[in-house]
Amino acid sequence: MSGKHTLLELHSAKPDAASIIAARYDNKPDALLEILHDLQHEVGHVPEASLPVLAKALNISRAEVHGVVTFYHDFRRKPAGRHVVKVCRAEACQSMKGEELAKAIEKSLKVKFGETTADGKVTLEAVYCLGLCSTAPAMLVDERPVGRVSPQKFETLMTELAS
Amino acid sequence: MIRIYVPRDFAARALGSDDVADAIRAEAVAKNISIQIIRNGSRGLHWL
Amino acid sequence: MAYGPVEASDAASLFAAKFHEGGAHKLSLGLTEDIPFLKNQERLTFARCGITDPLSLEDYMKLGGFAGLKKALTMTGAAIVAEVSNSGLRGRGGAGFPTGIKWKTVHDVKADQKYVCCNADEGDSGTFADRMVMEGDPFMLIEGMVIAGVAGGATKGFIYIRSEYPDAINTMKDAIRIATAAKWLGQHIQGTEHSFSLEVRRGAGAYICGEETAMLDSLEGKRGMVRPKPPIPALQGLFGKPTIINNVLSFAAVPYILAEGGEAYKNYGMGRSRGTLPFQLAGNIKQGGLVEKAFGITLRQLIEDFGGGTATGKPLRAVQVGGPLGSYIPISQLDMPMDYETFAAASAMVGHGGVVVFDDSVDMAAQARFAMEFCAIESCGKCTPCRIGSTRGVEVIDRIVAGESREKNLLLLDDLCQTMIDGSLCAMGGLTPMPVQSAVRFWPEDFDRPMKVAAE
Repeated sequence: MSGKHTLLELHSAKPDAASIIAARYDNKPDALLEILHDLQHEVGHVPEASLPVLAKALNISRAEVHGVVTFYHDFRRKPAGRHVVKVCRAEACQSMKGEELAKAIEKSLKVKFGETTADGKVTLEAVYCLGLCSTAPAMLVDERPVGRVSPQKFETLMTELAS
Repeated sequence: MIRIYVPRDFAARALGSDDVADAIRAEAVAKNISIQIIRNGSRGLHWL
Repeated sequence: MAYGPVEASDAASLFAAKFHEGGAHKLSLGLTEDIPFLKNQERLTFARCGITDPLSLEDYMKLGGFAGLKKALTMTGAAIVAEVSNSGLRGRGGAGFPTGIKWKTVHDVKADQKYVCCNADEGDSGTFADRMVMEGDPFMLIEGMVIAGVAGGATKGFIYIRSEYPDAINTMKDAIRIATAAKWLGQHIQGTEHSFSLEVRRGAGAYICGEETAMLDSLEGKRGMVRPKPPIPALQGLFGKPTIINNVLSFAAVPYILAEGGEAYKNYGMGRSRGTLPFQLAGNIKQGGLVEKAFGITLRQLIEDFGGGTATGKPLRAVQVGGPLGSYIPISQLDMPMDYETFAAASAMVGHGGVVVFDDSVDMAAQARFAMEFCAIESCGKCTPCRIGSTRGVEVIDRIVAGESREKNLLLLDDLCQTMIDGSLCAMGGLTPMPVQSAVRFWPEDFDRPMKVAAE
């Protein structure tokens, strides 16, 4: 190729991932959540352009795919930061000053929950229970669980985290 | 061979059990002691 | 020998004390079995968890694994159902519905395809027993599900695991692979005519999918919307086919029941709550963790004898039992025995056995507000009392705390709660009033002053 891509080609770069992943699940409509998880894992989010591709592959309506993507908290429609920090805000963590921790984190990262830091390093998300309730308050840094978090421990974690 | 059990439960990992297993392994190698580390589940004494 | 709490930096001193030869060390706890926290438990479901390598079939079978399934493979479906019914096992997911009745319904109906679904969407705050089973003793869950398949005549099973549990998902997938290779899953299990295959499906962060019919919709690749009942899932469940749905702990209790007999299991417990429940001590507690005991133990025994009181050392003020939809229990009721009926009579619930402890710094109005707010965030939106009621609930509580016509708004809150209880399709809207009303009833003083910290 001469390096000149048509708009259509550029658009099809990511949707392609969607159709490959769907095929991995034999294009079965009941596997939609699995497909979306894999897509988000590989692309970083669920791109808008993937929705019609998936609808076609699974032979369901575009509205149904849209409905599923928007219903579940896990699916992100915009790219996240380089790291995702999920802080538990459910009762057991509340009982161990989880809300004060949440506020301290917002202040430290200068973002609200659901936002990404200006340098694109961290996306901060709330989660309701990680099953780490006996080691509260808890959070997930990317895939790594961390218990008994204090504002100080959080700062150390952030320093250790590769930018 | 001595077997050392270090839990791999999510709660144990949240409190650093991966680092503990690595440290024990490294220490055993350094001291030339033959051990087998088994990553077991947790018995639920999360307060420890 | 047990040592703990061990940090990575302790490795050198542990070796210096010859801990690998049982040497004394400041972190030494003596023999694992003799630690009082463990010694005083009655571990049936968690007998193996933490003792074995979770993915070693050899370890599993050395400690009684697959004894229940081996027996089940020689029995008729009806005989297995009878054994489970006789044990008195009730759904450990929270509702406490008799497991035997569910299984019998599926067994008795004729269909070209039946399913077994395991609800591992353990979303309640304060609970982690399902996670511990899946990460620590995954073959036990597989064994329980295969027994259910043999009993009900189902050949296909799904485990719906919440995405917040990545380790449990991976461990279960590995365990299924290993069990299939060893012919404990798949075609002709152990050379018999029985076949059963198993698949893990991930949730996607929706609390409501812990409700069984919402979970079915989610397993079918749809939004997790609650279905009206009837039809019950035992008759028309996954893809419209008869489906046995149970919680992880219910399935996990089954191998013991088959191996030792329903009678042995039934001998534990009190009243109509038979067997053991793995209680989970969480939140502001000194010795948090898992305590499996027969029904009948009191909350006080759990919190004080096993838990050692609050982590902060401050006086205990409230205990939430049974997850975000469970009532807050005041100190005056700590001597209630853990039993489905006793709790129900006190407008509370045992649920999945989660016990979340709060010290005296808790603001109960904020907790009540959070219960409504959580319902608003997590409602599937199908029925109005839950979808709209929860949002209005947050607003009314805000007005009460702000001192705006307090009496009138308290009445309004009560009325709203009643509407949610009576008019909601499922337990999400139907039970959210429990934590709210218990907070108002037992800690009215917290609603009579500005909230300390506003929950968001």
